Amino acid sequence: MGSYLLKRFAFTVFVAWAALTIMFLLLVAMPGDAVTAKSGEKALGSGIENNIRAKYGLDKPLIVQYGKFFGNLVQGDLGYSIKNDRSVNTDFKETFKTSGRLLLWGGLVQIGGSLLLGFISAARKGSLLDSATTVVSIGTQAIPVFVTGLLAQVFFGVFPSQRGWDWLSFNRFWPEKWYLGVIPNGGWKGIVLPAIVVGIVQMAFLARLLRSSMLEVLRADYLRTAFAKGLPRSRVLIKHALRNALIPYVTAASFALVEIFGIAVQTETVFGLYGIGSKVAEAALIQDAPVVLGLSAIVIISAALVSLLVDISYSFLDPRIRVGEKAAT
Amino acid sequence: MVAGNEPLLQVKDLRTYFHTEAGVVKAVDGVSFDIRAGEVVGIVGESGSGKSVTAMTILGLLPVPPAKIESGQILWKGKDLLTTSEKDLRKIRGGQIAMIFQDPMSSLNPVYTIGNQIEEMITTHQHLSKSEVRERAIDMLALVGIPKPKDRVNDYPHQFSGGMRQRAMIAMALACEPELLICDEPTTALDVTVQAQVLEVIESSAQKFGAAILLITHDLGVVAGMTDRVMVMYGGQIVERAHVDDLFYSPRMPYTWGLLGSIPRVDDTPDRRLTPIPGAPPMMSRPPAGCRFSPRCVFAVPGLCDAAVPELVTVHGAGEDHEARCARLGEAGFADNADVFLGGLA
Amino acid sequence: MTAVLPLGAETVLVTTEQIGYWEDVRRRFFRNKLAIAALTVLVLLVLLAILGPIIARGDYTTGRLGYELKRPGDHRWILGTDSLGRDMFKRVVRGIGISLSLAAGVTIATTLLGMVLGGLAGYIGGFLDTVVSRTIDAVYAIPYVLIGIAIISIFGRSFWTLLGSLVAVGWLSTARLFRAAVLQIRGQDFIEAARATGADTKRILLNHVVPNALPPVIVSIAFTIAGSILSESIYSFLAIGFTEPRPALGVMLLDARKSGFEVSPHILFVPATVLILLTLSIAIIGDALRDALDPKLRGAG
Repeated sequence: MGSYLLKRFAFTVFVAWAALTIMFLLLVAMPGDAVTAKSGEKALGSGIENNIRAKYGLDKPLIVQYGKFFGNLVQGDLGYSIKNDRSVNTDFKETFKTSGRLLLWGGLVQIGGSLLLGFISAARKGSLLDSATTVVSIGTQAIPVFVTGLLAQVFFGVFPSQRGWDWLSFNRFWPEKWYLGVIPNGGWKGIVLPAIVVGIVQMAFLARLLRSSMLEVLRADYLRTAFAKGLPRSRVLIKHALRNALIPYVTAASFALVEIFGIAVQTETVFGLYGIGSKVAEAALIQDAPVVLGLSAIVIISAALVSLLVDISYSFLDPRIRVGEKAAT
Repeated sequence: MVAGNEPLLQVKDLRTYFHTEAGVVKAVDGVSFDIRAGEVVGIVGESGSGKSVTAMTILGLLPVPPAKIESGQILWKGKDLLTTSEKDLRKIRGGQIAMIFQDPMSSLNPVYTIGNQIEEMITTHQHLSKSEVRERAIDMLALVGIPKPKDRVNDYPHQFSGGMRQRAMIAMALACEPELLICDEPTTALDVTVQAQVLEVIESSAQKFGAAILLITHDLGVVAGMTDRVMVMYGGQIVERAHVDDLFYSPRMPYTWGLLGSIPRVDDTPDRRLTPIPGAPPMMSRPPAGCRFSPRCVFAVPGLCDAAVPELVTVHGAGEDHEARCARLGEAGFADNADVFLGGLA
Repeated sequence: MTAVLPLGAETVLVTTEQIGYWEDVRRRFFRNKLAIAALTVLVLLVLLAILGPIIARGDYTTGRLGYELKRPGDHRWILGTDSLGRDMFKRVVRGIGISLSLAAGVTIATTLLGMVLGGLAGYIGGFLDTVVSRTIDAVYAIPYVLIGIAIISIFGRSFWTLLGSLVAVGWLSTARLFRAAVLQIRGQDFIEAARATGADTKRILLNHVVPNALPPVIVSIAFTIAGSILSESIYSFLAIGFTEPRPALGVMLLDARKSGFEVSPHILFVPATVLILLTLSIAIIGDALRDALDPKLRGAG
């Protein structure tokens, strides 16, 4: 088990490092750097441009900038905006709570919903719920998240409130108070639509995946053994089938959890939430590369940590990874 | 309560059909037999003869649909399992009738320890304290010959060899002291060297608890060493049944001759040739007319054998309770044809 | 080359197999009713994209005061007008064209790049494979929207930036798929036979590996088209893709969000419906192709 975890940890560190390097190269090393972009149409004198470069260390060799980027990152310094000198840390402080809450609830919808729907669709194969999950899965894969978000606002916000159907209206403001930092306290309806919009795409996909791996496990010999023991169907399904079906599910969930960070960018914009995602999009619009880089670094590192957690849970699910083979005696 | 002579299990005219797109497959088509307490009964047949389906039907493990039990009774201590509620069936499964399957590699759940899986069997059927359950699991592993059972109880199936997994399956099956142990091809998937050991474990541990055994196999050698009575199945029907010695020394049905002729025997003369049975088992979606074996039978008489399915009738002069299903059974001297396959030994 | 019996024999086998296979794929695809419906919708949308601009000529970029937010069916505006009084029909048919032509460019580029990189990585293996595979792992660790955002924030908004950022993400899945397919095929006997007879790498790749690895690539082409239409609309909606006055579907949706779809929902519904029909039909076709191309399901329903 130790060696598996060590391997996964090393892999996570490598992937996060490589991903950060790719972002660094994209944002810093490309011709047409942030300063040229800053100067925009009004051509600044080359002297002024060079002064700005010197100020942000952009005149140094790439490798020095690269070292500095990682050095600062390790110390928790995300860099400075090239447009208004603000620390990216300030942007982060302003936005991370909103994003964190959105991702937490979106992740809960994604994981909780997919477990529930996938399990029930497999146990009741061919039922209405099963078909509905399939339809939603194909649909959400093909419809951009922001369109889902806009349509959700219309059907569960605008139309109901125009007709006075308050019970169906979830288009309230984002919760203002939070209990323990993450549990909505007052105005809780505001979290419902954003969380579902963030979670539903990967939820439907994961539910389908869990369903097919459950159906595969249901044909396994050890399930017949479990029935032959006299166990009730519910126990066979949960203890013996679900537990095994979760193994492929977890691998996919690891990718899905990375993807919801990207989905959150759209969701925040659609619902007008001031989070990391909408901040990044805004920074991209004004070509503020350091802000994009700093906030992306946060996102990449968080995503990598989530993947690592999922990998660790994987090793608990599958003893073949945890415990090596003993010599048969 | 089981009265003195009443059989433990009585299967009466059982018919299990599969309704598939290709048509109705009559996997088990009118099978009747008894098993008495403590007795070892064998069912022999090629794959597709319906022997495994018979076993699965007894425990109610077949998926319905496509399987459907068309008729018959399965009387367990006088109570018909086919009309018993699922809840009561669960008490019988594992608790009174336990089963061992063919492939020990895939029959144990890979994510739980061997101990956990044996303990689950015990807690499902008995109310014991946690430590008693654990102790019993370890005792069972010791009984089936797992070395260092106290350590190995915490192992996962992938840490066991094939033979050890089958031993663990036996330990699990016998953990609640069932009265009947159904073994479906228990040694087929194992190395030849381990097969004998596993059979020995099945026999000795079942005897210890006084459990009857229903041994399902395609291997006459397995049957010869361990059973009291044998049934030969072909095309979903029993075609011959007898005490084990009578079956080997006075077989009456040409299919049994074919089976015996295709395996080597200790008493073989050096020049006897092993003769495989020509042809392939029938497609049970479209069984042949008349005797199901007639298309492959070298003794089949057109107009007789393909006219009607012969009855299973008592054979005289070849041991007690000997029955066979053959239209030409009554013909004088027909039994001598066995020589064709058995080289004059029978 | 009379001595190369194994190769010759296998080649014949593979070719006859191929004809039967593609015929079988075609039959199974057209037996799928949902796929036919999706194909019909897609063909109609393509026709609309081609013929629409010819039928609905005239200005579609300049706003007209006094004609804002007309409902569909009002006078000659079949699909109504947007917040600036522009004809939604004129805009939406051009939007389909924009989506499709960008998707075509992205798909050609990603498929070629993915096939070359993935194919070489899988076939040659070794160091090249390590570099390509680890790069794919690393890029997968970045939510794809961020990559597009990074590229756009350096190069600014333009058609080529958008194309580049879509290709930068798109080649991954194609490369991954093609690499896996090549790895699987490489181990098979007929490739060994070809190699044993002295055929060179290029020949083996072109004559044996590529045709056999094609099915997964065809499926990935369908999903790349759908994916790039999706991503393009996302970037446009985030205001970092296409921009006003170009009538891309994402641009129209952004306009709907900004200009009160609460009052005139048609400015949301028209581009949303067209976008959904477009991506959904392609995704359904991709799904059906995947089933039809799956050799495990040969001859089945």
